[in-house]
Amino acid sequence: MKRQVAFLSYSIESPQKIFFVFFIVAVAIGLGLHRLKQVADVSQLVSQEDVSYQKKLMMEPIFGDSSFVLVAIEKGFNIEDAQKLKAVTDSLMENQIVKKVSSIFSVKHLEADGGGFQVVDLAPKAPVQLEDLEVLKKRLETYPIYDGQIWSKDSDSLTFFVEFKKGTTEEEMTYAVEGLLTKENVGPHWNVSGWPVINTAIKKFMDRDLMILVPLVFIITSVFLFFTFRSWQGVVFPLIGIGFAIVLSMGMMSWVGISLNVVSNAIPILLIAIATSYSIHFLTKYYLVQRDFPSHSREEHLRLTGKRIFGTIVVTAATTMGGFLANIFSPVKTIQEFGFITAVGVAGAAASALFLIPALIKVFGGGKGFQGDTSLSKWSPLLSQFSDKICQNPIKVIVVSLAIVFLFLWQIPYVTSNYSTLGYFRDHSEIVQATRKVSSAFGGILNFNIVIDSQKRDGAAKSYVLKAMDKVSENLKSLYPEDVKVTVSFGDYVKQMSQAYNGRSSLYKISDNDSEIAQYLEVYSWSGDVEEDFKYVADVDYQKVRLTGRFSLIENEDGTFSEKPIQYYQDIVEQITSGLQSELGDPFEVYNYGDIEMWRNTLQRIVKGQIYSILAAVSVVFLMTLTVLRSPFLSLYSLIPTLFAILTNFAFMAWMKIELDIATSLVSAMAIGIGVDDSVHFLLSFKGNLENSKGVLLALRETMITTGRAIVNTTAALVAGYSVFLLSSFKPLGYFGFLNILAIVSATLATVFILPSALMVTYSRRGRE
Amino acid sequence: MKLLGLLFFLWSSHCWALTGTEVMEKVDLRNQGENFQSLITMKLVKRGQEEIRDLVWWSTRSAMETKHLIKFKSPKSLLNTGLLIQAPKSSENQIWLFLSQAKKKEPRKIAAEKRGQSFLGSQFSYVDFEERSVADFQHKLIESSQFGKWDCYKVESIPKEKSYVYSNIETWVDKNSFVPVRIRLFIKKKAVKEFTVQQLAQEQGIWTVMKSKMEDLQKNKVTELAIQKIKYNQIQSEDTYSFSRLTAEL
Repeated sequence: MKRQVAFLSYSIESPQKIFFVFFIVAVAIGLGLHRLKQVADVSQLVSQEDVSYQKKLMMEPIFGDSSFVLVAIEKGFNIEDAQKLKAVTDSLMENQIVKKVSSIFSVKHLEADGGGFQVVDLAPKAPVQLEDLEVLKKRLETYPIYDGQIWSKDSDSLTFFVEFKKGTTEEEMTYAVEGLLTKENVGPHWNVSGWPVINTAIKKFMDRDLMILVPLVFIITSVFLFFTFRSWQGVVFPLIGIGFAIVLSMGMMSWVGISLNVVSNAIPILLIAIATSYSIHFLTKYYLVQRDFPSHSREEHLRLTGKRIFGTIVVTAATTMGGFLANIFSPVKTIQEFGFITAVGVAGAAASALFLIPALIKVFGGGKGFQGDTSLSKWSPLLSQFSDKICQNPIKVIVVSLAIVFLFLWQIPYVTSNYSTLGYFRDHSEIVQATRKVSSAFGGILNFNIVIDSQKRDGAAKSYVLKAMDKVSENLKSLYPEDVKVTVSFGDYVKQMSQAYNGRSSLYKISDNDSEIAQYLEVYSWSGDVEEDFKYVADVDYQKVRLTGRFSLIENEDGTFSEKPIQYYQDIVEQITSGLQSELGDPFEVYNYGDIEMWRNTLQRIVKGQIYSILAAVSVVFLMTLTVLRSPFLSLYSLIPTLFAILTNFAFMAWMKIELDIATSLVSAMAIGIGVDDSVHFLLSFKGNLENSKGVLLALRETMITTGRAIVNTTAALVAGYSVFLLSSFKPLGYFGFLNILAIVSATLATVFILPSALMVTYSRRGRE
Repeated sequence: MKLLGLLFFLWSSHCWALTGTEVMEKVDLRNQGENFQSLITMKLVKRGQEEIRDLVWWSTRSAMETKHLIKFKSPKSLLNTGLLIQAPKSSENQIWLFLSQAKKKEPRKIAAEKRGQSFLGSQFSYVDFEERSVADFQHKLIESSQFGKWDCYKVESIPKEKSYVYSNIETWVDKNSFVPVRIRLFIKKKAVKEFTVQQLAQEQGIWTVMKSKMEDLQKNKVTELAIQKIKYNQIQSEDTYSFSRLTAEL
């Protein structure tokens, strides 16, 4: 303690040096802020070592990237929209960053009518009269493969998708298409979506959150601080400390090359709440000391405050950091980064409360604070009565608490996990609406891919392989009519060739004769560009062929749209894959790849990481409290409120159907780190009071009175801070805020109800013994 | 201009101080035989790997038109698949395709509106086999130039017809045989393809390109042609270039 106070003395004796050090650190680290990158691409959540990521990386050069910008033109099969689509297609194809445009004006058509068997442009010119549209419609109706790819027969919509060159950012992709549509003055019935667009929308919303929520939480905090301390110093000094913590963490992100993402976007708001609570602890003690020792000098007030609060802030900061750092054990890199950076910010917030605020008070004064405030005296009898009530009925409290615990435990198996990018957005947001329309025209936006590798050249262009794949396509559509509406496989192209050459729609089927298929492919290659035209379904030497399709969005009873759990989709894909593998046997290798598998694996890692991080946080916090409380028994007790908070968290997730995802998975470890603060305060105070008082009852009463105010204030500060998350553009961050509030409130309730009861029961028995 | 002829025929002569047009006239008038029957191996670099096609090729030329019947001998999957081409000087090519394994057992007409399109999946185009007269181009002798072992005239030819597939053609014509041994084809002044002769030999007294290759300079793809056997000026029956021969087995 002497060493701690000596540290504080430095702030009191040389405040200018403290200002200098904080200024230099803030400037040096803050210089990196302008390089802070924002990343919304969900693939960053995926581990690069993950087999699903590796497979996707391996397949992309063969079958192309799946990051398309998709556009659906509702009821767009008319002359005006078709003409605009022609202009848009031509402009996009001239754009240097565009690799391929698939629209009615760019795809190739296998001529099957009087013109003969050859590959031609499906629509070489924009229609100018109704007859042209009729001709185009007739061509589109020739082959089922066009439906769901470049037009939607049911909705009479035109659709197109754009693939971009490697190295193009998602924002460039989105703006290239959206900018062009604006230039062409298309109507609102042109809906744009696809993963690049969704990720760009995430970035926009991230900006919105930073631009609106951060200032908002600053305002709320300022108001809260003013009503708490009633002095300008009580508002400005904590805000300076908060600013320092944010600059430190965000600057550090930039220096170590971590990008701002959906999860780390929450860090500034989190730090405001946490840093405020440390400042409140320090200033509350300072103003109490000032009130209790009016004749002392400012320096003496600060020294006395330091003596009383330094250790507590260090311990609570350490436990909070421990809670955040526990996320390092998560297998998800984004969560690891979040844990590390927030821990750095917490260290900054604690340093500000312990060194910067005292130095500021030394130079500028701390104001009077608590002027005329008698709340402590008002609260004392109330808290005293409350404490006595609990101490009189500790068994009852414990029994009720245990009943609640069992009820909560009962709910845990009902917690579901999911991973959905669309799930980031509010149901009625523009991007969800556009995606719904695009999904409806394209039969979905969530791609699945099944590859058959024959292990030899031309080995996959065989009748039985293509028929097996075709059968799977049909089964998918008949067994899962709600989920799968569009599939495309190499077999579809072969069927198209059969129909075209033989001039009969009844021959839109895969021949039993391998040589016939080889001849169609040979002749197709004379007039078509095999590499380009079959790119999405076959590799260049027909060793590998692919079945690709999309899962549809599901319309809920309340009119909203959602995806089913990612595991549901992956189960379907895996079932097909294994079915095809057993049908084809050796040497064929059948596998699936793509976003669904990547997300499922990421989700599994999130769930696994949740268990790791809870265990790590509990262990770290236990060891830290053991060091401070010097009692394994009290250290175990300090975990009661946080474990109760975690249980509450999961029970409410089950009741409210809040899914465990990237954001909500962070809550538990954080709740341990932040929630344990209350119990450490309580137990340290109790331990001291027990040594000085005549019994457990009195010690608990004293503890309740003295620490009650700080606990209520910090809880209120954290709740006020976290409540801002409820306004976030992202649904998971809204849930993150709600669950954090729930965890903090339940940890506080457990601290004031369960902890005193448990202490009462334990110490009374010890007393009797 | 007869690029098909350029590949297979030869006329020997010595010329001095010729103009570009005169050089190309000599190319056109050299002895190319009235007809031929040949076995040709076509090596394509296709889908990333080499593919071999053995073709039996009949051809006949008259003042009015050239006809070709091409039948696949290998690979096995393409056996008996064939192509019948009628290339009249005055109008568009007529092309019929027959797939031996397809359900439809009659030949299928292929629209030949795209003359620049690939011929049998090779780097050659249909237009490369079209009969064009020397007068369809403006020819200019650029220089005398050596290409490989051949001492050549280098001639630049610009088509008079604006819609012609190539914007200009550079031809290296062997001064001895008057066989073009190198041809560079340009679209919008950019070289897109290059034909080169590897082996030239006399068969039945006719200079014949025995080995050659066509390179797509943009896609970096190559097609090689090698004549295994060739017989000129044989008696060909009336129905050599008919549907019945197109659909018949080899």
